[in-house]
Amino acid sequence: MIKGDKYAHFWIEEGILNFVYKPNTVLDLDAAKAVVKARLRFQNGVSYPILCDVRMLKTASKAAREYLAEKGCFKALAVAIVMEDAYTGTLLKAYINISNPSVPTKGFSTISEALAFLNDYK
Amino acid sequence: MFTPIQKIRVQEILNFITEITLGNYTYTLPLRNQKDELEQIVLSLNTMVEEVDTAVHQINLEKSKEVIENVIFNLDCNFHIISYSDNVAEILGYSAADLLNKPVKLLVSEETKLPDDLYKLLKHSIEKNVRLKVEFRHRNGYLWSGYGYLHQLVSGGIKTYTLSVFKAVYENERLTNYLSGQKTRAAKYPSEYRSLLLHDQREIVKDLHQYVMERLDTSLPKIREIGRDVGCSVSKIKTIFKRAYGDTIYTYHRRKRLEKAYTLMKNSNTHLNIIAGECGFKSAAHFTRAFKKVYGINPLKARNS
Repeated sequence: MIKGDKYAHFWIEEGILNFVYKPNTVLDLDAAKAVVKARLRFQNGVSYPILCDVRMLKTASKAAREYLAEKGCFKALAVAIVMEDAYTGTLLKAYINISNPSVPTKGFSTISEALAFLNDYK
Repeated sequence: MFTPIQKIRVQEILNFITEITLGNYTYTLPLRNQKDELEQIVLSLNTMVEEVDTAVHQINLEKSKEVIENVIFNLDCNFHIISYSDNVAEILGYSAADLLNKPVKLLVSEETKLPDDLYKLLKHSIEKNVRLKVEFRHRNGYLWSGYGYLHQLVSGGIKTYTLSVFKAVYENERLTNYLSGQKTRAAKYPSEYRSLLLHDQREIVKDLHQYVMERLDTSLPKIREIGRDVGCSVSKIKTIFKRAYGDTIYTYHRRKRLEKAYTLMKNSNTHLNIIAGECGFKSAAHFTRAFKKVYGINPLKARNS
């Protein structure tokens, strides 16, 4: 069985769930399901704004993006994605504009900008 | 300017773009663990091809269907290829000389974990029916990935194996015909304009389709009224419906009613009068005329055939 914590580290700090993908993670549908399941179990029914650091993520498949945009937003108040624009810019634009996540989602290149955005949703 | 490895990658990218141009959206480019400009391009192209695949096949939902591509390799006890299914040449671009008696590992990417310890894997896969994720490398470098099973074959004392890999892909009849140069009745469409259909137009087409399918037991109102219900102008309905389905909304509606009637006739003993009423025809005679006009056969004969 695939475990979500194989793909990402997560912890809660000052009311924000920090979610950091591990290096070279390739997110397919099975991995996305495992990640969401692990996160929901970790949150224990409480909703948080989420800081999602994808700088180490290698790629995410279309099926994974669609899943994350719907089920991946459960118990999330908002999502700030920290990324390297050159690498994940297209991926993020496809995710936000086409997969259309069900909670406010925005991409940032620094953690401080991302935290500033999430502070409004605490 | 480019190192030899980068030149190979550039060639892979160009070949990949050619595949997309030719309407083949089933491959992905391999990612290397090198954060360079080529990796940026590869990542963006992989994302693009997935979105194009979805968009092209959702524009005309009725004509696109999901089909399973399946490639099969028969392997000897050392995992060398003895024989393979004839679609391998088309899907992966190799010739017999590239494949026969060669280790199958040469064809798969580093991501695919084929076993070093065959006995252990086979025991495990037979007991638990384990599914493997397999990525085959196309002759031009890009990847075709699917899920497969490894089976041990029973033969006269010689151990052989079959690696059978499946991938779900979209198939669009019109697109295939168009790309292979076979002109169909609706050859005007798909045109280069088709892929530019805006998202809201696709939404309207979906709404119109739903509107039609919800009214198979009655006749459609005037097109102006449909426009009011769906929130769209008359000319737009006419244009985009015909573009999507090749028929006017009324012809399409009648065809769907006749299809419904045919299904009811075949699967039940209900009287034709009732079926005619349920499918929005004024009388059995009206239904018979319409049926005969489209299918060239009397409905009663069709029911008994």
